[in-house]
Amino acid sequence: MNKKTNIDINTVKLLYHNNRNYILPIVVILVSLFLFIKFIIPQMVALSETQELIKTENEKLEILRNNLNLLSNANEQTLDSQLAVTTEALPTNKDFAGILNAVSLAANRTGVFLGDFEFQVGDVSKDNPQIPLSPSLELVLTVRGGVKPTLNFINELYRSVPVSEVLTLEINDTVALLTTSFYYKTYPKTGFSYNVPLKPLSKRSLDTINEISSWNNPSNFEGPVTINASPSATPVASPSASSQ
Amino acid sequence: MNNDINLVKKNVDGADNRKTKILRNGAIAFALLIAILSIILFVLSRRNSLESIKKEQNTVLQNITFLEEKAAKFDLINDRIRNIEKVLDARKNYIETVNTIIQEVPNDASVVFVSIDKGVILMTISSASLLSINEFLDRFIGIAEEKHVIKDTTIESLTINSQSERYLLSIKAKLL
Repeated sequence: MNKKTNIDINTVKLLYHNNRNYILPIVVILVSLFLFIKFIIPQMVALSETQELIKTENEKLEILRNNLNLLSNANEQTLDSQLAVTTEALPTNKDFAGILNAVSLAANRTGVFLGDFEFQVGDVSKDNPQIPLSPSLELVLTVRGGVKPTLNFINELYRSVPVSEVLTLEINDTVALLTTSFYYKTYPKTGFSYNVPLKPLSKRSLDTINEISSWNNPSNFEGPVTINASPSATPVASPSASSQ
Repeated sequence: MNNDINLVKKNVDGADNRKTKILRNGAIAFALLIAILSIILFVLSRRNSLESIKKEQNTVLQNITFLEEKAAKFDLINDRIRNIEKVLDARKNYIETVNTIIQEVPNDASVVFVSIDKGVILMTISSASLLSINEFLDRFIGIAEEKHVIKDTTIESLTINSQSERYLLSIKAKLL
């Protein structure tokens, strides 16, 4: 059955008259809901995102402040001396002169005579597989002086800069053949970033620096270090020429 | 006229009054809630503004720029020391072990050959007395058992040099 409903102005007036007490509160509630959904919720989401961003930026600021504090309090002279000590222990390139001076100084101190020595040029660019991050320069040298003095010589070499390691050792009566690695490391290519927290040197690092400072350092000796060369020693080729 | 037909309500009863009151209070509460939330959001968004943090960051950065040289030195020292520690941790120092072994060589014996390669020590001692050779061998094994600085000890050879009439003992072990 099809029923038709006619709403005329009087009916509307009547409906309004009957429900006028409800209309305003309902409109207010609807508008409030609209505002809540359309503005308040998006604002809350945006605020939470902003808070996250603020947190990140605050952390960055904290890092910057700490770095500034650390750098302001760092003593320039101490830094210079620490840099000098560590660079002598681990040079930034193949320090042929430093190596020869260290070897000569160790020989002088232990009374052994140095025979022939040669740099293993072929291995210069190779990294030591045991210590992949530090390339090394290999030096094969002959030492004359017997078992005990040779061991003392190695001990002295281990307490000298630049840092070295004896890879192979062969002592035959009074003559010893040593293969020694002298480590070096170029400066890092990646530059310093202020956003990365700078850490003060750990106690271990400071101890290491103090220990290295007490090692034999040919540059602390005035004048050239003389070599205890045995009569059979042959002259060494120019390092710069051999490194090519 | 029929009295039952009356389009205008004569009396608003109590139930209707209550409904209106609840609805009105609800509307006020909603409106207040929205107003309070808006104020809170406004205050929160004004507080800790990102701009002020960025501004402070720039100020600190400007101050750090004056200490650029120090920062570079600091970075380099850290890089050097990190690598030095790596090398020192990884490098082997067998000299102490060799010295310990040599100290155990009897007086009437002498070390004629020592070789260390890839963590293996090969040592030859010479003596006119077989007893001394035996004594050294016992001590060498004792070092392996007690001091744990060597392992896998093997005797490579025991020979006699007829010209010098001296015994030669070659012994091999892995260095720990």
